[in-house]
Amino acid sequence: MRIVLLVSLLVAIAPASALSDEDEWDGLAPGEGREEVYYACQACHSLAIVKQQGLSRESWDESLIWMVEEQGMPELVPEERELVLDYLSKLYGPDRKAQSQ
Amino acid sequence: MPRDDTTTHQDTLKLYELYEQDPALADRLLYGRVAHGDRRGFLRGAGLAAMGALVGAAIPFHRTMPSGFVPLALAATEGEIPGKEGLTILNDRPVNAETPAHLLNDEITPTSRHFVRNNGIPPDEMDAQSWRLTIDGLVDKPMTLSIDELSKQFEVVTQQLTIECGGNGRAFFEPPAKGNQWTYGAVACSEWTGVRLADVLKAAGVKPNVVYTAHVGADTHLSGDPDKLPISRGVPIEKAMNPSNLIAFAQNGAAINPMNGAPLRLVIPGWPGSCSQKWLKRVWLRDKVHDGPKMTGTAYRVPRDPVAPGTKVAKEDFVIIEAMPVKSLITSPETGITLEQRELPVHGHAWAGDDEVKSVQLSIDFGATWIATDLTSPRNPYAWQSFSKTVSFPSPGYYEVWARATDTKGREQPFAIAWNPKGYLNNSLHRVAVTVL
Repeated sequence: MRIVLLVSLLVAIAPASALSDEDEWDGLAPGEGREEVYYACQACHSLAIVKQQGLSRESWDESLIWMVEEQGMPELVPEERELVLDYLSKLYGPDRKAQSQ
Repeated sequence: MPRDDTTTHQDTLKLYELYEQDPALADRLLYGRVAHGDRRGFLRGAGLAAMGALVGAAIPFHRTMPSGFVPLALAATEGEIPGKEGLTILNDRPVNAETPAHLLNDEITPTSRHFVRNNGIPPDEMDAQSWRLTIDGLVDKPMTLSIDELSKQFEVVTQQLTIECGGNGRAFFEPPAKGNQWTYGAVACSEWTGVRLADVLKAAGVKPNVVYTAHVGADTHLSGDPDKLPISRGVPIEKAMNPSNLIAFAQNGAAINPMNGAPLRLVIPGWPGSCSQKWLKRVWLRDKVHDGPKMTGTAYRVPRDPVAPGTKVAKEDFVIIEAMPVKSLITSPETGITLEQRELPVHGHAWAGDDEVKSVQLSIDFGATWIATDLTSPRNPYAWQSFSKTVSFPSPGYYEVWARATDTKGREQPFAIAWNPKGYLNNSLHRVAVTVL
């Protein structure tokens, strides 16, 4: 019963809060790996900080190492990690591709 | 970008399904909330504080709030920080927000326009009555004091103090530097009331072998790990004993804004804002350079020697940032204005780390010639100074007004950014665009 209530509550507030396309992914640019990036990052911080960056693959790689070694992030499985790095360096690389779209 | 309704529907469903199948997991993913065993309410901690920060208040009945419940208030408060007005929000978890330059025109920055730089999740208890500050480590007499005791045992002073984030101006780095992309507005100069850090340390008795302070706040780590501090920085003991540093309990004559560190914070002006620990719980004195989170590695550090943009620098070649460099900001007019007349009063502020500003000059011809301005003296050490000058444009057209401050040691703001890997200390001169009709 509570779950039904909960779902209808989410539906009811959906248009005003965070559940439309852009918003569900917090504005992350579309692309392969978006979902993996969303769930990997969102557990600790909002996507706003991700979307501001324009970093090389190497720099994103260092960020992930830092997140895992010092910031308590669970380690990603290798395939997932590759997807995340591909997505981030392609769309949030030094040319800031996603920001200029 | 065209909206793909099929994807929307599926993605939305995924979230609903997740909540339906495992509300606790959905909560953990979305808010970092951890449910109580009975799945009703959630544990006090980072998740609760995060949600409290989002809705703008502590949630007194959080224990009975069902796991997997999205507070209605979230929709209404999205993009707003209680007590703040006109700030540009760079990040909402953790909260990071800067003030557009033209909203920093006041001599004393109103609390509503003081930037916010959080590293973790603010504490959900910020009660001034029950707050305690501990001074310990290498002192003769460790102390734990309430705010009331601090204000009764030590002289209470009010000073106007400049705080600037070490990464202010990072947005203009090429290649881009990692971190919040601050433009101009991670700087403020409010009036702070409190007791001198030096007085309190003297009362505790600083042992002769102390070299560094270590500051600890009550904010919690983003990961929710209670054993991790989000940030704990310090300063050399010589800097700590400067009489301008405050343990502050009031901002502009009223309560400190929760996002600015209520009810107690350090204000260590002239150095990166991160030295001014918010929600201050403890100052401990150490016989070595403090090694807390964001003291080590490359955080708040720059290469010892200048490097070409994009250079990879080895960790051992970085040094800790101390005083912030000379800088100025044009706060009137707002950039992009169109003028019908030829005369324009220009106003702004300038500051110079541990020093004073000697002069501020303006240029309206892309730096070919410079015009002296009227510059005020600081109201007290570490208060920013204000410059004013009415400039005249010779003809219609596009102009830029540039401001350039020089400190008492003769150092002036550069045109170009001294690039460094982490995007700190950008004091390149500020430019505003003006079109004269």
